[in-house]
Amino acid sequence: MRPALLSLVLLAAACAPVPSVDLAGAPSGAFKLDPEHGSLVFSLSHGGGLSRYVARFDRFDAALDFDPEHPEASKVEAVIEAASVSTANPPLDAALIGQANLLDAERHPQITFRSTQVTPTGPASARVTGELTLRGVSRPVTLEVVYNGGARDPLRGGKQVIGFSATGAFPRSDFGADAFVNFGVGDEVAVSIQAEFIRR
Amino acid sequence: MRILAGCLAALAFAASACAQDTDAAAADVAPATADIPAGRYVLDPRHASLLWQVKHMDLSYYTARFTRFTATLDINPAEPETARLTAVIDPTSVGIDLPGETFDAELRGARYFNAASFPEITFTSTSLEMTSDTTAKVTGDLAFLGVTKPVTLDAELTGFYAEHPFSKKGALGFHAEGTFARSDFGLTTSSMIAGDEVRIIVNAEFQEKTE
Repeated sequence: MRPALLSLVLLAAACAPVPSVDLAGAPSGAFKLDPEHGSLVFSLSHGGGLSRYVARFDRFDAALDFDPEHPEASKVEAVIEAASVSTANPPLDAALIGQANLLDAERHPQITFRSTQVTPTGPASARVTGELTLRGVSRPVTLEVVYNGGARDPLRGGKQVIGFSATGAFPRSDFGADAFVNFGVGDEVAVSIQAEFIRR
Repeated sequence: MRILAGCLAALAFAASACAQDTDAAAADVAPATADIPAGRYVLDPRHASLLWQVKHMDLSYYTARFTRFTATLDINPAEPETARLTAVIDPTSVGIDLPGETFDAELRGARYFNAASFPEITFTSTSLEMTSDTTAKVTGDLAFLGVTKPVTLDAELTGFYAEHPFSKKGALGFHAEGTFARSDFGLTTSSMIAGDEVRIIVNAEFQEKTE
């Protein structure tokens, strides 16, 4: 192989971090969400079941205490800025934010989730139950969480980074956010989360 | 989905009643897709979403969306496999929209979507294979970055109105997902940290166009 090509091959092999999905060998400790590698998408039924309406929140943060050897001891706290809801339809965003029986964001600018229980469901997955506080109302919500892996990222200061995907669902009327439930907009909100955390 | 198709045929917009239906009720009420008016349907942009995802370092799915796109669907429920879909996406409408994120501008730029040279991404269906009364594999030509290649989506009719109570016209709801290799279209930028496979997730309502 020609020298230039060989060095390119070696460079490619060297700079692609190989993530590990072995939870036992995963990095542990205190982690902070990487806001540039996270997404919080939600959906609900629209039009009396015609389709699913999909939107997201754009500003959120989270802190994770991760104990891969005793996953049930792990803890996560997340804070979502209610006014960062984004449907790509600005008047609708304003309605979601402003309406008292929707996000009611002026009175309750933050949506929070604090885990209360982590139950492993597989070698790299867990059921995480926590208290979701929306519009100032707190109720338990459960997420199914998958650990995707961990790696040291040279592009993020060589720090340990771990990644997760999570899904869950809850009835918004439990939180008093029940506008339009009788007009074809679903009560159940499904959430889909992607999150990378950087070790502090 | 079948629950709601049967429910909608019987009730006008009583969504709360629909939510209480069970699968046993749905089994007795066959979805009357034959009642869907044949003809042309146009995407309702206020009730449509187009998400895409690529794996980031195998740690998470990088998730973004396009917010400007149009689509037209010609259907004949008596011959569902003759349906034709065309969609046009504005690549400048890409949005990650995360704080401090300038990546949207990079995505529009020459290293990624190159929107200045390729102002449209299009999908034109070429064949449709029904896999059930309400699901189909839709294959079509994706024209992206000047390359045209076939991509297949798994599509589901999630609900319909033969006659929507407000518009009095047909309304259709779909969910569709598919994947393709971005390298097939020459897009190999950041392949060390971002996966080759792009996952597309569409949720969309269409309204019958009757002029």
